Amino acid sequence: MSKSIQRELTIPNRSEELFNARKFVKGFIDDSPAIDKTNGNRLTLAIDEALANIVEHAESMIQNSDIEISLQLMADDKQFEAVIRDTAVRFDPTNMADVNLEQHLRSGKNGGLGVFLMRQIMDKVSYTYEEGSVNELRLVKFL
Amino acid sequence: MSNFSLTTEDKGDGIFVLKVAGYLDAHTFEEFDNAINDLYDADNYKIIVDMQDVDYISSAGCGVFIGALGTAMENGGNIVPAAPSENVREVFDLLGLGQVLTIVDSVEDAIKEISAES
Repeated sequence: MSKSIQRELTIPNRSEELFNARKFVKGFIDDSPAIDKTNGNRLTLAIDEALANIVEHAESMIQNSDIEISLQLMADDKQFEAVIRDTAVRFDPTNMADVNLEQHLRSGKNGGLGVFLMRQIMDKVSYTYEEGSVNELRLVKFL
Repeated sequence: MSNFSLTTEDKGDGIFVLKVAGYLDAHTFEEFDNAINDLYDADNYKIIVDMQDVDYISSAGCGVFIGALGTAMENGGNIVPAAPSENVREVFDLLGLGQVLTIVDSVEDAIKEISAES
C-alpha cells in the first residue's frame, strides 16, 4: 500500500464502547482522502456491525466478560482494510446464512442482519481462528 | 453515554408517535424495543416512529422494526418510520426494509398512512 495510513484502537467488550469505536473509525476516514462520504458511512456501519457481533457473543459467555477487542485500520488510495481481533468465544460470522427478510418478518426474528450488512458493504469478509485464543475478522473494501 | 432519547406522544385515535433521537445501535436498541412493547402491552398497535433526529442506525435498531412489525399487523396496526435522514434511509435500503415497511417523509404523512389503513 502506498501513502498508507494505519491506526489501532482497543476497546473493552461493552456495547457502550461502540460509540467510541465509531468515532475512531470516522476520524480515520476523515483523514483518508481516498474514502468519500458515502463509502465512509458504510464502512463505519460495517465495522460497527462486526464489533457489535463480537460484544454480543462475548457477553453471552461469563468467562469472556473482561476481554478486549482490537481494531486495526489501514487505507491507501486502492483499498481500506479493517482487522478485528478478540479472545472471546470462537465465532465465525462468515458461516452465517443470508438473511431472508420475509422469513424474519414471519418469525419476528431479527438476527443475522449485521452480517448481511457487512457482506453488502465490504468486498471481502474473511475469518480465521488461532486455536485456543484469537478470533480474527478481516474486512476489505476496494476503493 | 447519553446519546439516545425517546419520547412517546398520544396522537389520538389509537395512534402513538415514538420520537427517537441520537444513536440507535446495539447499545440503545433495547430501550426502543421496550417502548414498543409497552405500547403493545396497552393494546396500542398503530405506531409512528419519528426518526428526524436519529443520527445513526445499525442493524440492531433496524431489527426492532422487523421484530415488531408482525405483531402490529396481526393486531390491525402498523409501524411506520417517518422522516429518516439520508444516512438512516441508506441503511434501510441496504437491508431492503422498504419491501416490508412503509417509510414516509414526515409524521403528518405517517398519520395519513396509518389512518387510511384503519
